[in-house]
Amino acid sequence: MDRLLVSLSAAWRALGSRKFSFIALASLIALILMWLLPFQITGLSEGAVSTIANRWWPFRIAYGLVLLTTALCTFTRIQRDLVRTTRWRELGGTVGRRKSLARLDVGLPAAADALRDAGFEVDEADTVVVGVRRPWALMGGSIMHLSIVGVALGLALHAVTYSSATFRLIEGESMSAAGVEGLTAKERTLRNSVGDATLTRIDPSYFRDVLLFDRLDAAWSRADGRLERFSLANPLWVDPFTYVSIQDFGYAPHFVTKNASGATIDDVVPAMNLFPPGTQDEVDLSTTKLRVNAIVLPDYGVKGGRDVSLSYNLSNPRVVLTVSSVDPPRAVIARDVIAPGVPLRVQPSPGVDRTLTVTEIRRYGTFRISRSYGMPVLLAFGILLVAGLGARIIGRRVDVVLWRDGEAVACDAHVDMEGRSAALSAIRGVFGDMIPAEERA
Amino acid sequence: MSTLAIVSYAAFAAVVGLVAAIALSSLAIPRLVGLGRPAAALAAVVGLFGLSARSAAAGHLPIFGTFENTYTAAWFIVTAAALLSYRTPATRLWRIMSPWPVVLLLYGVRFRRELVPLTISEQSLWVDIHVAFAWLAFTALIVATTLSVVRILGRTVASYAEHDLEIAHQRILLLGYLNFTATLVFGSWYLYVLFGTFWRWEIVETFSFIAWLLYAILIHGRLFYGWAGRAYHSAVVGVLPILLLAYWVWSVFPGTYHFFDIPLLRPY
Repeated sequence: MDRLLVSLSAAWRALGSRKFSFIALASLIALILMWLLPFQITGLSEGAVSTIANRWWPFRIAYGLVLLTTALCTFTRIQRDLVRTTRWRELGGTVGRRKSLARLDVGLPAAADALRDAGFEVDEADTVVVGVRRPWALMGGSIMHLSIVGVALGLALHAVTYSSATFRLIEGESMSAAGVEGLTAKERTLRNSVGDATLTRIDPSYFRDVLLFDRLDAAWSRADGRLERFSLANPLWVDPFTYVSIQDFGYAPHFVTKNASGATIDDVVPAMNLFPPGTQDEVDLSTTKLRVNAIVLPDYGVKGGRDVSLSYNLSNPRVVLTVSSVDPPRAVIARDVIAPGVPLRVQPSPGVDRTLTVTEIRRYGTFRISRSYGMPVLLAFGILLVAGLGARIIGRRVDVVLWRDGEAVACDAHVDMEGRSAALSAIRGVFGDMIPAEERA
Repeated sequence: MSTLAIVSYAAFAAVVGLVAAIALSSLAIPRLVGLGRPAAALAAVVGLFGLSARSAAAGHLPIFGTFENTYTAAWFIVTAAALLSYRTPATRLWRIMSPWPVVLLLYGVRFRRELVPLTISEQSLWVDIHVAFAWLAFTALIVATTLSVVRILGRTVASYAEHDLEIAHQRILLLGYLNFTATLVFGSWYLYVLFGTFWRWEIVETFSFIAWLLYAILIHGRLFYGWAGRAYHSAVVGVLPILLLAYWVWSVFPGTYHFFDIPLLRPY
């Protein structure tokens, strides 16, 4: 048992050593450089690259080693850092091992006052004064490294708990009316967690006449009349773990067919794949037994004798309709470029007169609900990582120890992460003229 | 670009060029060196005005596309050089930093310069925070790398003593690393907001992660093993290609969601 404990202890020290941390970091870097970057540069898909980076065993071993060495090293050092942070006054007991960096020609009380004036916490004894500025800054390093482990835990939790559901809603459509057919149980749960809402409008816009998407907002209303607005970059948080964002939009033309006496036969608003302009999609009108192929030109114009769209914004729409009969099957029976509200006369069969009208072009949004219980963990540890690093780097603890040395006061200092010259600068900064001129020289 | 934006960019480029010219000429005519610091300060002021003018005209911070990003990066560097030259003993830091803004502006001017709004994925305060940290990190790491070049040549920056320059180098490198870490953290958060994932193995993030790990090794070596001297500074300079690729590969490699020189296609 003793031998086992000794071995474990030796393994802990070895795996948590700085040397091993270098090996682990260098191994991970080498793996990425040799077995990931070349694939990215030569165009392997991101999904395939992710599979290599996330699942291939050498990478998993490398991640594991980096995390292991970070955790072991930090757990070892954090105890020491805690002691140094909370028991800084005990620095007074180290006088015998110190070498004086400077000598002051004032007494200990005056030197202690100078330390206080410079923002140090001071502990005075008869023959020793200890001053420390920002004693807590040392903990920053441990917090930062522990946060790396925390981030890894958060990522693991995120990987296990993340779920998402994508759905479409047409303007005017409610979530409950859209239905849940084809959804998995998880997706249904996500949908239900958002509650019911009716999509009021989608507002996409493109800059001038170019394909630069400069706006995509959505607004939906709740049963109590509340209007909620959100966008791709500013999603709607329905609870601390779940948000809804709009990902994309499309067109949903409203098709109405009527018979000769004006009675409505078909009235459908299908979400179609009609963007960007020129993209065609088709829908079958079941009652009229027509197949309608549509192209939407959102900002209609004529260039070089061709029907084109002058921009991507739905400002002057036309629909290019190509209609064929499904039953009886007949090839193109009507084709025209029509504006919303203008009827197109079609004859599915001889003597049968119908009108087909695109009464309006609605928009639909593609939405994504995302939920992750790892996200708050990741966010918290991410912030701690930066805060810990900042505390250590910007905080930079300074220790000053003063002791009687004959008639004078000897002074030693230590600036975290820096050498003796930084310590000497710190002493000069605090005591200035209290250091005799010949010492300052 | 609006006339004011064009004129102010040209003025900034001219003053940046002037600083570089003074740096070069002062090698032959030492008395010119006194003009360098005020010129760098002038470049900082003119650049701030120019970036403000462009922001006002575009309706967003200058963070979209290679042209705007090189403009912003050049301003950060020349401002840091001016500030450090005035506020620290490194009174001639402006001299060794002067090539960087020139190179950045020469690179960026080749790209599309027209004013366009931000695309929808960039319209977030998180992007602004992410980019602010990114430029602070880039500036600090470039300064540290340049100081490493000076140390490899066995020299120092007037009026820094060698050991003081080593301390300054360490502080700047650490500050750069802190900002780089913040860049990755805020970038990851925003990535989750956009795509529901905290990390994507795409080329910009891969290079960034490599750079972050390399700087981690260098910092640990410095703090725990006292790495110093030519070998250490050569290693710092050795990370530079990875840093530059992390920051700029997207301007020539469109297969990343960090690609911002979006072709302005028309539908006809």
